[in-house]
Amino acid sequence: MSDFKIAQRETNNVNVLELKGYLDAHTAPKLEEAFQQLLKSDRTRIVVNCRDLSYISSAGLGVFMAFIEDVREKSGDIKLTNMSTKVYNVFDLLGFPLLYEIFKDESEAVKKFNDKK
Amino acid sequence: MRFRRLLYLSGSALSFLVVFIFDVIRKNVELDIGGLTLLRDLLAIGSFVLIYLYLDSRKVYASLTPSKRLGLVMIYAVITLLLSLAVYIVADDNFETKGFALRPITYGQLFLAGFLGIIYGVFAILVFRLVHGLIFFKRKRETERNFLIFVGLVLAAAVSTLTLEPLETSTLTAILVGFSVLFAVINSFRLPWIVYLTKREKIFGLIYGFILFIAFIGLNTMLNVESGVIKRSLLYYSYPLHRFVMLTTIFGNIYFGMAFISTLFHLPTAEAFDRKTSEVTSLHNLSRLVTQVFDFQELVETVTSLTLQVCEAKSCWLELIHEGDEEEHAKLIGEGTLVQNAGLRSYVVQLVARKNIAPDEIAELLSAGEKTLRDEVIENRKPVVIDDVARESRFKKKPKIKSHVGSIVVVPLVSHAGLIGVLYATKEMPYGFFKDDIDVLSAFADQATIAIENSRLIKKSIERERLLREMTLAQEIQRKLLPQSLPRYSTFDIDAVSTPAFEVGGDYYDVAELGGSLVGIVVGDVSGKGVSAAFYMSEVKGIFQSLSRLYTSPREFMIKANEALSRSIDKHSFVSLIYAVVDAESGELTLARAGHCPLLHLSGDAVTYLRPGGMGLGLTDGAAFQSSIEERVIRLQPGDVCVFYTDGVTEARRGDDEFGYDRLLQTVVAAKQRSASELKDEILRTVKLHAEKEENDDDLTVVVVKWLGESRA
Amino acid sequence: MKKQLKIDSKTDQLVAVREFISQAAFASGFSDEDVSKIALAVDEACTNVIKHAYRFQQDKKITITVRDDHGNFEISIVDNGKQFDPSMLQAPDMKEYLSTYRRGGLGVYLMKSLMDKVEYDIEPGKRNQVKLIKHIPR
Repeated sequence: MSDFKIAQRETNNVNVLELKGYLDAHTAPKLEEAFQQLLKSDRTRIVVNCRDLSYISSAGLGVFMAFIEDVREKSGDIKLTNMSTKVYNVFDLLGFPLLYEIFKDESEAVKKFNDKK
Repeated sequence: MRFRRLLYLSGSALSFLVVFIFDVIRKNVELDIGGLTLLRDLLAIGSFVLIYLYLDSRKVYASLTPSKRLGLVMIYAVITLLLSLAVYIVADDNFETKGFALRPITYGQLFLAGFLGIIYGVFAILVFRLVHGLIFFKRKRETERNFLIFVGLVLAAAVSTLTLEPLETSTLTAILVGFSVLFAVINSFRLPWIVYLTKREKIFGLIYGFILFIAFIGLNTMLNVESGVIKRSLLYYSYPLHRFVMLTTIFGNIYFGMAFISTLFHLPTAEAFDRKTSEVTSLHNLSRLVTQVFDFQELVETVTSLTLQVCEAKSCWLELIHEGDEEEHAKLIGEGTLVQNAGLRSYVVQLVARKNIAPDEIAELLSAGEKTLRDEVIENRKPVVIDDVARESRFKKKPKIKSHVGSIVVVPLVSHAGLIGVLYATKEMPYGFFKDDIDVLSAFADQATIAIENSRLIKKSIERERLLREMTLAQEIQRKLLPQSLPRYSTFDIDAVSTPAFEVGGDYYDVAELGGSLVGIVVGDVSGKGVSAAFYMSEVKGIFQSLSRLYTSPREFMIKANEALSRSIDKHSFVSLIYAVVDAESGELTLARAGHCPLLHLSGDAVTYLRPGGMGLGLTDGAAFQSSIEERVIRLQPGDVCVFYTDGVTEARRGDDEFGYDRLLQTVVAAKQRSASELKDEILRTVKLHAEKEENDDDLTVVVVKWLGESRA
Repeated sequence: MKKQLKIDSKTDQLVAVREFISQAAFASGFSDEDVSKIALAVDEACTNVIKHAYRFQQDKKITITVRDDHGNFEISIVDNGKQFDPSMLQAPDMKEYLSTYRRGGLGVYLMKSLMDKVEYDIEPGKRNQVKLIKHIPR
């Protein structure tokens, strides 16, 4: 029923998570797990591609909140890309654009990671 | 007074009797002595004067309301009229004419004359008494004058007939009667009481007035029918009485005729007047209520029921509003409904009283519209009036409300501190609330606001009072927990002092004999202040009293005490203790310290602070505590001084300058020759001098031990 | 109009809740954007109940009632769990939020932002009711 999938790949030394479907309190643990895996193996240059993300509730937003600190401590970052207006509006309501870098396209985010270096 | 009344009554009865006897004699014997007849006529009048005086002294009619007076006059008039009609129908005229005089043919006629005389006389007096009250209602300056002139004229007209035979007439009497009627008309304009009748009373007044008008016409006719039995009986009995009664009926006729017409004109405004009266009464009640605010629920119930009265509403309810911030809202969760409005300030609303309306009806009413009535009032702080619910768009799809409610008024309760509540009133009919209703409701809301605010203040001060009492109790407990006196020993001096902070502190000291020559001395400090500190202190005392005898090693004691305290004390509190066991024979002192100030030890010229390690009690249980706690043993020499104290001593401050360890040390060194008691006083004095304040903001405890050795037997 | 949905206190029910609410809101004439806002707000309210009032106990019930009185669209969410935690009322300061790792409270803030009116009616230990209200556009 509840459709939420995460696809993971690596481009240019950046880990990309592609989210698909509905991210709510039921599916948020999946994302949490994915972040945990990345953190464990010190892969902290993370781009979350939201192109196919149709829905997000605060439970999903909470996952980003929970990991951003740890990721940044390890001098990494979580950058968000390809959001639909609907999903962006929710991020925007909570002031996330102040805390996270949000890009129109995945490539821009990947480039930003590699520029810094 | 009672005697006088009896005198009036019996005098009157006697006069009647004498008049009657005279009449009986006169019927049989021709008495032509003018003086005697005059005397009889005077007596007849006198008997009524006495009846008047009797009624006057009873004061029964003094406090009647206008409508009651009206009713009574009507009853009397109708009874008299019916009686007269009965007499008129049944009895024949049994008088024979002798010149201008009348002579009864039968004894029956003679009786009837006396009977009718009394009936009419009493009736006329009663009418005067009752109407007097109506005329004097809201009297003006000229009221009394006009009435007295009228009464004077009536009496003069009556008395002017005294010397006349029953069928004689005189011009003087006719003139006086004419003036009497004139003044009857003048006095008949005194009808102010009509305005003050309620609508219901006015309707009844109208009926009464009409009946009275008819009744007085009837009576008047009875008195004036030529050769009628009533007229002739009265004339025979007393000519002045006839004149008096006749003028009374004329007056009654005019007065109640005017009253009837005037009431008729006042009827349309009756309702408005009713409302004004109840408004005034309710407001008066409420302002009295401002001082009766001990029961909050009673207060708000009264506010709502008075609101119903003030504007004759069908239903009414009162909500308290707390605007405040999130923190205040959080405190009120469970007491009311938290409303978060986009674009408006959030508030918590409590429905505290309602009349004639169910909570779900209220909810339904207040769910209507993008902005509810409540939101509108809260935002604008001005009354909102819905004149016609059926035409109000927000209630378009609320058939249930439309069938119940025609018009609504919502009034804010605003105090100097802000909005504190909202008062609602509804009526079944549309346009039920007039402008003056809303004005009065607003004024009423102001009064209610003051009353509610006062009630809250009082509640607060009662709460404060309770806390204060609790504090005093805790202080008392604390005082009793400290030793009332210290034991005396031959080998050492010991003295102690503990001054609590302005409220309740957690300082504790105690001395216990542990068996053999061992003496345990403990000083401690419970974290925190107030009632909970006193509570923990009593627990520490219990632990000390029981464990110190079981474990004579201070370290072991501390470990066991920690176990006991960890179980009972809450996470955020802890207890610091310093505990020494002194052997009163050998002078050996064993010391353990749990997070407390070090022991000051002076021996000869050397002064040291002994600081065996140890954490405070109740912070951790078991191993961590055990490994932290140490024990130190010293042997006391004659002249040695040990000072146990709490941080109230070292932390006493003047500005930023704490008393500190050095000053304590210097004080003890300087006074080392003194006794334990003097040393303790000296420390206390120096600390107080340093802190310079009247009250300590921390408790302060000092226990001084001075070792004397075996020198003192 | 009045519709009711009763669900178990499980997160896998949230899809059904959103579906139910979306349909009702759409029928009442809301735009797509508003429909998704309302669905999100109700999702947040239910998530709060599951997480905080029932603490993930799955055998409890949540009753969701939708009412359309031709002016207001009103959703009431009722549970019989633990008392609503008032500390969640504080609007989150995102900077502070980060540093304190607090994870609740976002939903409460979202509900308030997404809807026209939110009413909390709490009878401690007995029944918690949250009403979410949005004006129906004319």
